[in-house]
Amino acid sequence: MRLPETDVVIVGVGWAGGILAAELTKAGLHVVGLERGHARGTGDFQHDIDELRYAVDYEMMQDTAQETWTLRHTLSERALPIRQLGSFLPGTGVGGAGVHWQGLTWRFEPRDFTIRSSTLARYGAQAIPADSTIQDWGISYDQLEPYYDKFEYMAGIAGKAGNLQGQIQPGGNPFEGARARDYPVGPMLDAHAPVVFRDAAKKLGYHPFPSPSANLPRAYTNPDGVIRGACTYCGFCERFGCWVGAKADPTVTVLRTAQQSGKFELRTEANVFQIAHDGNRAHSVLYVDAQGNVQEQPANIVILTAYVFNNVRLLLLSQMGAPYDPQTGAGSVGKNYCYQVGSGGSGFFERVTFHRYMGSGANGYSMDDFNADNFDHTGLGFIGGGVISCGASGARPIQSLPVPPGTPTWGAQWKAAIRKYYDRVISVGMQGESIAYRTHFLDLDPTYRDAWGQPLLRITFDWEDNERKMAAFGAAKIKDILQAAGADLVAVSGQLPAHYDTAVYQSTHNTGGAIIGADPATSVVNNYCQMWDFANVFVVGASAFPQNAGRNPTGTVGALAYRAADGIVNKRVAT
Amino acid sequence: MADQSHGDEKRTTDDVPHEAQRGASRRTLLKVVGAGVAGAVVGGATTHFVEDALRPATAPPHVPPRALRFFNDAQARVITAMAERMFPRDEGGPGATDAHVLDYIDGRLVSAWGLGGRTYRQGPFFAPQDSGHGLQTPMTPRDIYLDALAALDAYCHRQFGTSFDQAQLSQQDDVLHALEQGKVDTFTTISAAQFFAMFRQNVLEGLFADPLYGGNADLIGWKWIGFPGDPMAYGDPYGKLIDKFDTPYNVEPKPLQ
Repeated sequence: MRLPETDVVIVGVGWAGGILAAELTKAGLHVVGLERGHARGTGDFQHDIDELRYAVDYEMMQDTAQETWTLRHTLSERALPIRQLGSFLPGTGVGGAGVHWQGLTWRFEPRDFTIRSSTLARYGAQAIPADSTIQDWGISYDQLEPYYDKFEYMAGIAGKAGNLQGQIQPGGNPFEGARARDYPVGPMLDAHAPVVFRDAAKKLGYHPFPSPSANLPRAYTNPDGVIRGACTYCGFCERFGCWVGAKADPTVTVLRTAQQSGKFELRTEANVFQIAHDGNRAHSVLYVDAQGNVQEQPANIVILTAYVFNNVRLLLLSQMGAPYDPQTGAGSVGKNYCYQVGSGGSGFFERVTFHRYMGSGANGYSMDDFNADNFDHTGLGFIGGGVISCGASGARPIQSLPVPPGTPTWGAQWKAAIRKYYDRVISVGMQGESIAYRTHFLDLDPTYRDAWGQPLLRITFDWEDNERKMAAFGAAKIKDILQAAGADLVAVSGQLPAHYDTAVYQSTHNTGGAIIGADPATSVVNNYCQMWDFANVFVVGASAFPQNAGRNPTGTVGALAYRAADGIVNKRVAT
Repeated sequence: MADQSHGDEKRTTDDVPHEAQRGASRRTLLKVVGAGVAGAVVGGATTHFVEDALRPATAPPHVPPRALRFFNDAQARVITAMAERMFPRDEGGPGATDAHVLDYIDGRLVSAWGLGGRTYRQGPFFAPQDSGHGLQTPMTPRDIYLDALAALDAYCHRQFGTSFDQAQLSQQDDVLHALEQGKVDTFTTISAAQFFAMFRQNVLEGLFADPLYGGNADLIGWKWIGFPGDPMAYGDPYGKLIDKFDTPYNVEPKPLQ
């Protein structure tokens, strides 16, 4: 059925969709938000101290029985469906993955936006892996800074500035780009394990600082007038919804603002499968409603704000933009799919306990000494790096029973070991950059389909030599830190598996496929996240990242969303 | 929980020193068997407890006389014995049987998870050409358990002439190691190692999930490691304690209210 036309239709109501809904309705536009899942909010999370339901059974995540992805490691391998969630956990429902996130809210570093030119300038062309397709963003950190600021003040991010207008601040991150002003809220309360990490890192001459957190340590009223309360440190953040609303998520921030405008219509159980267009402009989006009926929503402006994969998949299903061809390098839709490189370690203590069950998603300390290009890579054999962090995000027992290597996996000895070490361990991890390669990309699978008969998205991805070396390097640094922390026993893992494993959780930081850039030949969107080929279509989210930085992506997703809104409202880029 | 005999048994074992436990357990077991048989008169489906009375005192506790939704009694005895070897009752504290891990797994297999919920089950199915693709099978967890229990039974009868639960404890351990390493050759439809990984995960869930799901009885799992459960049950204490590293927080865990 063809529905009445609206000014703007938003596909996917998570952080990016919520921000655009808030900003565009404030500017007087009528916005329809289409969300495939259900409405939800803090009241739905009253019983969320339930690890089995939320963390093991993925209550808030995409249902892979209906829609999943296929994965192959190389161009010649047959792609197989990812039959169960594992490696990454996209959300479903209003607020998207922005409801079950941890709350770590970073800005990327200035160098991240110029990775190719910066690497060439410092190390020369031979430093970039032969098959890598890393490229500059076509936007600088300084251009994005006001939008980062806007996101942080909207969400009430708790942290400590390290660089205020060029002045390095003690206790903050000295490697960060200059900020116009400090975080809106001071850091969270210190938890034990991160403090042990912080002190060890300092002892080694590094520069630890409080991890920037979307979990409020105190009540906060944001510039839109939205009031939220303080975190209880209950330890059930990532994979869970926050029942007190202390964790910033779209349902307790931007969607409230949008709804107060009276110009926002949220339509749930609306599964968008196509954008109708004439080759230059989009006219409407087509979706299947809860009863299985196809609905057509016409709009002047179409904004894709689904998770990375569905932004790209919708472009491919709608034949918008040129699909990327890994053989020739032509086309951009699906290009530069990236992920995140992880390594980590645990320090076991005989006599110290850490209250590991207390915490909140983003509570902790981090250091950037081995992130980006903050250290000399000469002779290391890889480019890039990652933030090294120790968090106190709660230790739910089904999924957090670390034991020293060599401990049996079951039986009396294991039973004794989990009792001994449950609260006597700290974990430190590095979240490494994932650079782009010619053969890492997204396209439509030729075989497998979703519950509505549409082709699944196919992911072609594997670990490369650069990432293997980075992970090993990070693990060695983590080992030093854990030893300096006085752990009686240190175990690190810096060896990536033979192949990328879809069954083991690593990170829900998938990026790329509808990338931002300065050149229409090598990117899908300009630096307002506006499609080069369709002036009234915006594709906003981590799908715009040309490669992934060594950080959580949400702060940058938020900044790009605010910039897109600014472009639509103030620069009138869509008209 | 109506299982009075279970409570008696636990108190008895908890209170006895290690050296005395063997005999004490045996006495307890006989007492429990009495309760079990009495239950059988009412419920009519617990005859296997009589067999248990003939077993050595080091044997795991009996299968509690509760109705099951998925397993038959023979399967329940095997699941109970396997879980008990993985998290055995010992001088330190209660085991998987005490924690009702069987009941948890039984319930798990009739939940959406047991029926393959949240799993993409469209074909075609192919064996992966390399690692990293997760399970690629049309089988649901129920299918996997049924086939695995049959394969395990065939293996144990061939090796020992008994079912798993009637084998010596050392033999049971050998079988679990062989399962874990994928070396039980009677498995055909799924690898022994994949079944073991699934079973181990289910045992963890049965020990450490909220008791709402039928396991973690008496909060045995949470008490064992010191997980306090629902922090709100004690009036939001973490915000006051998180930065006080030396203040102990020793409370009786509480489940989701």
